[in-house]
Amino acid sequence: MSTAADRYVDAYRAEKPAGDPWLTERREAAIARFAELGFPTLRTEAWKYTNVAPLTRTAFTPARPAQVTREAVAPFLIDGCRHVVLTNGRLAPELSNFAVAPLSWAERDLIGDNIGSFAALNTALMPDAAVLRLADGAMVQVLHVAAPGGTELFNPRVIVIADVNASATLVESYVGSGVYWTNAVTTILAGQGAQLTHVKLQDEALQGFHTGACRVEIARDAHYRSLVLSSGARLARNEISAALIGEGAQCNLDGIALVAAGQHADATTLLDHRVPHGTSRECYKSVVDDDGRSVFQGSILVGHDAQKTDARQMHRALLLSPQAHADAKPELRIFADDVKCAHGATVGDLDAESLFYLRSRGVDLETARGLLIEAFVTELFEPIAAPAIRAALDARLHRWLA
Amino acid sequence: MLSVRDLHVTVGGKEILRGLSLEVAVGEVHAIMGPNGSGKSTLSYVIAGREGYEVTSGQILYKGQDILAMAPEERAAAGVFLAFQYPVEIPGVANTMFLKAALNAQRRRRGEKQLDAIEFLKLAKERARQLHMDEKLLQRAVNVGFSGGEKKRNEILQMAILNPALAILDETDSGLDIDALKIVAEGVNKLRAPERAMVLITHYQRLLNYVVPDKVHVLAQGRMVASGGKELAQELEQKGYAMFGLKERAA
Repeated sequence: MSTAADRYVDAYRAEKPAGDPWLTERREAAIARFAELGFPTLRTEAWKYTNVAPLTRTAFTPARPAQVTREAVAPFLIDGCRHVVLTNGRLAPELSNFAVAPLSWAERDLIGDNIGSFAALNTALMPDAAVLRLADGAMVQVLHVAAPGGTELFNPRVIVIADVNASATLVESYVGSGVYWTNAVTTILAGQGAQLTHVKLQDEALQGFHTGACRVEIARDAHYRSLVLSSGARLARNEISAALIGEGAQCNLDGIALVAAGQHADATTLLDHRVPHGTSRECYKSVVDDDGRSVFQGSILVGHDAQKTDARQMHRALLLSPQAHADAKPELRIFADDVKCAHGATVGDLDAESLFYLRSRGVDLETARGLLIEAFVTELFEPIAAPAIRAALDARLHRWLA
Repeated sequence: MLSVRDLHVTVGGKEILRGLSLEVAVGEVHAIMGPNGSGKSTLSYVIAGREGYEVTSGQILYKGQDILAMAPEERAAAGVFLAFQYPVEIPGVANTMFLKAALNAQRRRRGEKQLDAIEFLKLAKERARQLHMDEKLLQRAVNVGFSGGEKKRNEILQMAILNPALAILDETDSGLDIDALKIVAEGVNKLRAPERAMVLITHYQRLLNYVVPDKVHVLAQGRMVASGGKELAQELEQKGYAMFGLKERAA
């Protein structure tokens, strides 16, 4: 019986993506894994709220190189950052000004196959991987531009290593036009004592699809801070698995989904406390308009050894229309006995009392709603110190509100 | 300025105002006193246009115009202001941003020129200074973390900046210590003007030691049971609402 997955297995066989023997070995294992798992369905526990039927149904063809000019990418570049530009999932050195290394044997352990089916598909089909080393003070934007010729599938792979004790900022932006599927995997290592801020702007074309998996390891005394602003794509899945692997590691996971008519935005996170004295704070919010739908699945796993873990999770959904829908599934799995873990969730409309207060001062209803939505969202922008990045976040929000 | 005629209002199916009438002329300050549950806050909300209050009969005329069909923001632009009994905290919205948005929205509706950020800040700081209020209130999120007194002062500051023709102050004196009460009263006195009318809604007489009203009304069970000059407030203080067959004390 032919399945949707076969198309991509066949594409892999036909294309035979390049690489050293060790990489080919991993690709082979990954495509076997993908063939075995296939596309997730609503019966797949990790996908029970997100129906990928539109992805399964669509016949995506392998990525072709894109012709993207410097002028075309300029509006998406953030000032003050060095830039790494990938077009159609492939590194475009002529558009980049930050040194990127190709994948090497040293990163072999970061190319795994024992993960979900889409990440496995990425491993099999990724053209190469861009490896970034962030030294102290580095501020780098990785811009993914999708410019498909037809209905194409892109599999960008980025590996980011923040040096020991480095304080650095990484911005990942996804933009594009047309109908396409970006299936990205980003792997991040925050070295011992590193302070890494990671902002992801998922602003894909509204007819596009985005599945992005981010895997993070946080070393001893390192602090990894993530903010995901997801506003694009017809169907988006933003996944983060953050593992605290060194004592004293800290992790902040924040996320915002701005969901309009016809959109579905899924945020699935795992906070994996493996060692003692880890701290994590997580706050995910969604603003859902029209018939949009948001999903939040947040797992906190506290291993046997992770004593003195302090983990808190919050999810808040703001529904702007009677058709809007939000699903939330928090999950705490705790195997240590001396830990502090808490989670909470709220779903609601804009506060009627606040709306009347603003209107009684002369602010019209639409503006009053905008002010309250803005306040709801920008609370999570506050920790972002770099003005140019903050401005990019604000600009995206204002375009959404307009 | 304000003419409330035989107003009947129900909230959640229960009649709260039962034929209330009130005439306030331009330049006047009126005090409305009454025990808890008499309908004082309902009257203020109905004038400001809050949802959930059903006017079953009667009229509210402002400058001769029926305002019942107008949205709250339209009433505000026309010059109606309500100082809330419980000012709302709005995290994430700075006072300046909120007030600039409010003032410019009103000005836009009236066909007046918008103020830019510098013009607005100049005006806001000037008003804060005139009312002896800390400018820092302007930079903070709307009412968030404000003390009770700061919230009430913020209402007075908003009134000073928005410059309404009709101001309704709903128990602005409640929950204030004597110092805060004096500051609020001073603000009210400074904003008294021949072109403005004010209605002070209060449970207690003590505010009227500092703000002398032109007229005093007693509201009970949804309608005015007495009206008179400022001496009516003093009489109420001595005798309590019992003089109208009501249980609560006025002082």
